[in-house]
Amino acid sequence: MRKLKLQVQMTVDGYMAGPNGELDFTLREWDDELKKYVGEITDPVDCIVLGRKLAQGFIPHWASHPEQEGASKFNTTHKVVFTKTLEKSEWPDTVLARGDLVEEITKLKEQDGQDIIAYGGATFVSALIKAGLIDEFHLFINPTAIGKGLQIFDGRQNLKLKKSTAFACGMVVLCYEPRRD
Amino acid sequence: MKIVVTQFITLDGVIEAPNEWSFPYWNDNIAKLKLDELMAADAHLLGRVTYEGFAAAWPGRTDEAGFADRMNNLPKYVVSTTLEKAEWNNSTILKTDVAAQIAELKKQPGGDMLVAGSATLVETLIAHDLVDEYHLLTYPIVVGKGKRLFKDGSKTKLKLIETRPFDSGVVLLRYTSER
Repeated sequence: MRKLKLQVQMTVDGYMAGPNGELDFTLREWDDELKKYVGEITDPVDCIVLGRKLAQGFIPHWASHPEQEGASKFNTTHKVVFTKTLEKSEWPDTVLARGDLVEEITKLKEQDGQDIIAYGGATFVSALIKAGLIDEFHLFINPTAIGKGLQIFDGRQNLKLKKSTAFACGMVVLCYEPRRD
Repeated sequence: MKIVVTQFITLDGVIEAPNEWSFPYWNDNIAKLKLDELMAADAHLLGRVTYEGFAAAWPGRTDEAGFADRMNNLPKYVVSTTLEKAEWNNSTILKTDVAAQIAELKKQPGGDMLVAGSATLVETLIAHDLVDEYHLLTYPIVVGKGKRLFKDGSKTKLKLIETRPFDSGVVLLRYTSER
């Protein structure tokens, strides 16, 4: 089975974005070690799953900024966009998944291939977590608290710490697996 | 003295009722961290609710490591508008002009002034930019609801100074306030 990873930016107080999706808390300068860590997460990935809202922002953004860090990985990786409203994909190397979330993700996991990754947005990621579909959480904890915002966790959940890594730029990456006992 | 806010906190930022979720993760190394933290402190600064919980639990207790003795002997400052008497050894009530009084206390020489729990007080401390350091023992758990460390409307920039993972899956995140 392929592994579904989650890579998401978070605040110290557990939010993934401000109340209106603001990401102004995120660190601007990432040190080389952190970039290397991201490479270790994404190198074995050959499929990106994302919610429709994020797709509509992300896919055109990265397509028009191919020179930016991380753009080529994003642009050249196969993408699956989850939507109930779109009829057909308007983007290259991107297909739509319009069915039930659990069935669609399970189908993807059962296919041959490398790891799958999710980045957001909040609604989509919350649904993945709630359905117990994430196999590995990489929570990028930025050194800022914002007091209120969008949360990805809904209800009670126990996790298993796999690794914690601190970076000179101030980021801490907490890596967890679900606890299925 | 510097103000150190120390909390048991869930991944979703909740600090309420750690007795309901923190116990299964306790181990010797976390106990050692809490002991070191207490030994580095020269005073407690507490909200009324946390104070009353501590005052009911600690007097009369002893242990080999000296944790209880230290708890009982250190000066305690309790912030409350309603409390008339604070009978736990070495306690002082801060009633009015709290932020100014605490700012004065900070000018005194000494080690850490430890703030454990005390969600309402912490809110006041953050609002008046009085916190110097945070020790966040981050538990690998999401509880979904409860009082949170940082309140609506507070954007707080921090500086990471240390992380320390524990075998049970807890991670200490240590930050100072970015001023």
